[in-house]
Amino acid sequence: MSSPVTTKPFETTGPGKQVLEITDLKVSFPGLFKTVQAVRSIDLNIGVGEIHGLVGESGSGKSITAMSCLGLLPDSAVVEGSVKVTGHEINGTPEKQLARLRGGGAAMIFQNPMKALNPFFSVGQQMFDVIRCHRDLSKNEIRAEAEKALQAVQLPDPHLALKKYPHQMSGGQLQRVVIAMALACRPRLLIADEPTTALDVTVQAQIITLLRALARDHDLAILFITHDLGVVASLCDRVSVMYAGEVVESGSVGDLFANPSHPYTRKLMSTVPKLGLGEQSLDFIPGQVPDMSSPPAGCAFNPRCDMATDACLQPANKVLVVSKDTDVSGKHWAACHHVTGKKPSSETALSETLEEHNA
Amino acid sequence: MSHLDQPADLLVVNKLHKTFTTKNGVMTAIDNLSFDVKAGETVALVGESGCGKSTVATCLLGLQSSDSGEIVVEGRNLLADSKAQGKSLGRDLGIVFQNPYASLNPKMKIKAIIAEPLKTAFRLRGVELQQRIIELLAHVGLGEEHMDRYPHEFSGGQRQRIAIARALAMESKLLILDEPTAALDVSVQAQVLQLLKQLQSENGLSYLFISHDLATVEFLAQRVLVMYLGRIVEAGTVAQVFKSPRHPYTRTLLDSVPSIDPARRDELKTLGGEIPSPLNRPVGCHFAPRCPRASDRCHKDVPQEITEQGHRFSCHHPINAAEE
Repeated sequence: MSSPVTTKPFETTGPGKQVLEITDLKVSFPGLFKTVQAVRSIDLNIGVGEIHGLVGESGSGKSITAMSCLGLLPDSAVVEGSVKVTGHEINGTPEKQLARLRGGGAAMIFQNPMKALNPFFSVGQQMFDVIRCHRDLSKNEIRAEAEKALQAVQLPDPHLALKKYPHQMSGGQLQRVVIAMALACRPRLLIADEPTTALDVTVQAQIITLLRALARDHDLAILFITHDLGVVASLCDRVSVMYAGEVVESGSVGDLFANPSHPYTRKLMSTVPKLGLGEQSLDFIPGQVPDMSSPPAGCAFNPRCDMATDACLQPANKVLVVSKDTDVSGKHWAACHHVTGKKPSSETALSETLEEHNA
Repeated sequence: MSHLDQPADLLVVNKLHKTFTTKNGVMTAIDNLSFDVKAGETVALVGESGCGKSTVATCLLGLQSSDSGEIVVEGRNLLADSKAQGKSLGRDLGIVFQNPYASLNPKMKIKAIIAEPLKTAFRLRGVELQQRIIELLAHVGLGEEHMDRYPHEFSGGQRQRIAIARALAMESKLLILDEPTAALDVSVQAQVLQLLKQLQSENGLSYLFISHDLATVEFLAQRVLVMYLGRIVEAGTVAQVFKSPRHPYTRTLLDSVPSIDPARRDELKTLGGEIPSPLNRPVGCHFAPRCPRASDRCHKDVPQEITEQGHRFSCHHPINAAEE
């Protein structure tokens, strides 16, 4: 897996042109007896036209991170840190202003398209409502805009599709309707929460190709949440691996798949059955995702990690991964005491390199 | 497996046919389907949603009546004898459903869910019952502390493990696994797949593994049946079907699986169109409207099944090994 990366290099148009900037985000849900720390300090940046994969097991905080990007978290959530979408702060912004940003600045698509659409209204009615809310257009223009959006997602016969009800369409068609709806208001950022998990492989391949084309042609930034590493490898430019509410490793798709450095990432990769290998033994990760009301001390993965030592009871710092295959080492880091890369000379050296990349 | 030379046919399905009558016409869900499952082996049934995979499962279990054909379990024709079917549903055929949110009663505690089959089938009570429940939960990676919880307190993955524990409780010879890992995380999926394999070698279980995930099929199954719109278009051993597929549909399915190697992302192929409605199936080869190799003949004539060294396929223009 050391061949050159085929991803489009990620170019930003200047400093501060990040579409999504998450800085030290912490989300917790205080309960009567315990507090669940769903997200424990996350930093994440997505530039224009970049597809960023967020991978992890269920319960690792992926979806909570996605929800916080649109201010969709329930009132019971305690949110700290900063989430900026196209430069606008989400945390603490009143609901009225958020409503304008949702759909306009950032849009979201969900795992199950059957549940995302109202079964009582036709696809057209639901699309028109969304466009009317965000854009000042006449009735005919709205219809034209909706048809254009459906065309962009390669749905055959858009004018017929607008008249249909959700139950009259297949899962793949509905997911394309949902993507069209999300894109109709020309958002800068698309948050996709496992959008292909409920779909067939053939349809999944269609959606992957479609999202790639949208990112390339419309400079759309995508935060793609999934637990399918194959989809990440086929779609994303960068990938962050989440475990227990933290990003444990992050890098370009080429670097990270060629040289997975955190033991969790390596384990995750070896648990996936690969096609074409015939007889194979599957690795699995012993134990379970920790109870986030009392996460393990230090590196959260240490109770399940076969490399764990006493050092792992202390929190692990981010360490740059330098491999012989790649020279873009500054962008690939892992938070592990046993990373086989160069340690930065000091903590500031790393944060500088990371900032350089983020800029 | 004790009878390696001549494994007995545990399940034989012969010309099974199932149609549904809707107000828009007759829908053929299963079209003269024939296959068998031998003792101790895993047969995978793959195909896109809407191809009839799950209907096969429900017909086998007798949850739905089939129009014609035979379902023979250990020499007993279930369709001829409704009593045998009722009994078989309990003991011979177990099932793990696709959606663990719908298959577990939300009002029952986990221990009650797993205890139910143990009480009715094995008459277990008291300490014995308790121990068996703990044992079954341990098999699927859950602990004793989970016994007193309700299904809503579990994640989708954990719920599916509970459903698997419940199916294991019956000690059936054949388990029908209807996309059992579709809802699980990869790390958990690997555990469950390993567990299923381990249980198979220990107890000589047979599986009918219904899935659209070809990689897990390759991992678990010995033989594969590829279904498209109610028909089996290709069948053979995993090596035959995955290494040298003869039907263009099988090739397309294999090409649609995203590779874990980012350098190979451009090899991902997309198939135009959607699976046609079973209400309005194309004449001739069902795959013809989406097939890159289709000729006029494919749109007119139903292809006959060809068998080569146990590798069955139905195509007018099969892919040759040389083309691969």
